[in-house]
Amino acid sequence: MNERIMIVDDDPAVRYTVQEVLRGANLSAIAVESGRACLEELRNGFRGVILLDIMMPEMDGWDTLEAMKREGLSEGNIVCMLTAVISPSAELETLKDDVLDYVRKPFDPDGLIATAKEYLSYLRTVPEGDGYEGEDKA
Amino acid sequence: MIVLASDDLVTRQAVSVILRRYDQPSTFVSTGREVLSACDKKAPPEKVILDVHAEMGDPISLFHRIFQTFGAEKTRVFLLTHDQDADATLPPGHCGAGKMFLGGLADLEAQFQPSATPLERFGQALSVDQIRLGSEDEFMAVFLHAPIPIYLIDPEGQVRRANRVKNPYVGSDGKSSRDIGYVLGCLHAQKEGRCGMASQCRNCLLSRIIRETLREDRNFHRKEISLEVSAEEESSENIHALVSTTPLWIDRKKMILLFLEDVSELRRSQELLAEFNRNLETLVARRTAEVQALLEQKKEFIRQLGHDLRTPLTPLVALLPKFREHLEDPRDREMLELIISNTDYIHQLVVRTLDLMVLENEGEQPELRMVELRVEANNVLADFAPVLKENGFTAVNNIEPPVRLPVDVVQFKELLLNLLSNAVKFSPAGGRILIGANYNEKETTLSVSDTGVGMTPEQLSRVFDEFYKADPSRHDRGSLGLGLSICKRIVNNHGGRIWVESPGLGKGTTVFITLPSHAPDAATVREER
Repeated sequence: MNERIMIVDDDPAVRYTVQEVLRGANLSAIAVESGRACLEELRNGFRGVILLDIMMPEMDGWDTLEAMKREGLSEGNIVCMLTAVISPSAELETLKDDVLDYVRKPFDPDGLIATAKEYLSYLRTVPEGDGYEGEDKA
Repeated sequence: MIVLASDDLVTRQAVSVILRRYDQPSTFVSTGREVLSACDKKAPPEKVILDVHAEMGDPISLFHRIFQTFGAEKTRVFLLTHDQDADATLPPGHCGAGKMFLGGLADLEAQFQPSATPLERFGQALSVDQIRLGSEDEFMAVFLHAPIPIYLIDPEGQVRRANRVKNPYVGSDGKSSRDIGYVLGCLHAQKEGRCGMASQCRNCLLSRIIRETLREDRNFHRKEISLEVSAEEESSENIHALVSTTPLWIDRKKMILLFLEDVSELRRSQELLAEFNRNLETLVARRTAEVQALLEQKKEFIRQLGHDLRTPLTPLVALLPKFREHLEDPRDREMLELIISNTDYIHQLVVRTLDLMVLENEGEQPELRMVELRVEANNVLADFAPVLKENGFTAVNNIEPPVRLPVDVVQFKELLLNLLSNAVKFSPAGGRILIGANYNEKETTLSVSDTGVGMTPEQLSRVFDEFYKADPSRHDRGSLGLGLSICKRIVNNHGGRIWVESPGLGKGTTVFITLPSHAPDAATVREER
């Protein structure tokens, strides 16, 4: 199966949970524990739906997002922030255009599956690596 | 010659005994007319004693007649009363009429006792509760023993006489000068030798009062003066006193009678009190800041706790339901449902607590939009329909169209859901919920009534406290004790009011919400699409 979902979270339990939930819907995801590892995957060619945790040590979700833009790795990805923080911080203002959605922890398993499937469907409508801009949610 | 006018035999005898003892020639009469006829104009009586209890007309007018006839210089008139409280017996107007004497028999006897000293006589007068007017000796006694410092000052500002009261302000030696400022211990007067000579004296109220009392013949009443006096170890302190003066003529010389009331202690106490109050304000401000800091800490703690709980809850909430498919044994399934429902409870508690925190954050302005109240309530009721159905409730939306209000749709929905869920939670199955509204130009009052368990006044007073549960022993997984706190936040954010009424236990509850009909700033309201 071509893995087109990536979960980025420093908490192994969350990574495991996301993978398990998605597996139950026959979706497979790769799991990485840091922003650095996420960038590495992107450099190696990963394109797809990224579930990105915000609060991580060293390099948080926003730093990761900025690095992606800087290195030109944003194209062809749908980023969905995975967060336990209630109020989005100030960074949100400058980076919100790069984020399609927010998933709050703890999440409802069916909701996560539905979200993942929906965003995967967006990806299918555009050729891989060609970005998804121009496609609107509506 | 002494004339006694009295119609009472006993009085006559008593007085004649006294008079005979002192060899005083006397005549006794029993009417006012006889008094006047007994007095020879050429040889006026030395003393006339009028018994005020005798029935012979008004003793005061008689007294005045005697005065007019013989003059006050030659004849002294005594009013005789054996009452302890003479003022109650004597008619008004008996005082201040010159050489009048008021007293009983004992006092009268003292009058003729040549050996008695002025002070003894004064004491005797007091023993019959009477005070002699007009006697210089007694005046001196009063002057000397009055409990406040009194000074008699001559036109040169020199103290001629001071009473015996211990003067708290003792001049350095009291001999080199008897100047009033010097006597009171004023540093400037002692330096210059005279009151009013130093440059500082220009602003001194004491020297001004003395000057003006003399020059303008006026009284001063309780004017507060402040004098710098020497204190221990060559330092100085200020004394505060209330000064009253009155000009008077003695031996054809204009003098000043000066009374002093020391209020230094009072002023010192007042200053201490003022300082204490100032310190109290500082203390209150500090404590308020501490409380504020603690509140911030509480917020931060809840925020952090919320975050820290959310992450480990993720696998629990997401993965536990998966076991439903794998469990065959009904007892295992029951156990799983218990675990899932408890996990959900923790999840809800965390989510709602954090919701409340977000609402509490200042600057979180609601996004106002004009909505149709009835339609909005119907939308919420539709969302809530499954819960109503499950519990056999009926809900009636009695809001009459058309009313449009500026509300934050998300917050309003949350508000109404909270109230509906409370109504269901606190009513027996099969209850009834009524939503109503009243309007006026300024505001709309929304009400949600139920047929539930109702509340006591004590419970009513606490319903908006965070985490308050009316019955703490209720281990009700469906109730967090946060619903009304959240409602109150939402209503506050809209500039409205919320309150709860209940006729008592078992009699249902009504929650009232008043929301402004117009947004504070029309520009912030978006029209509903």
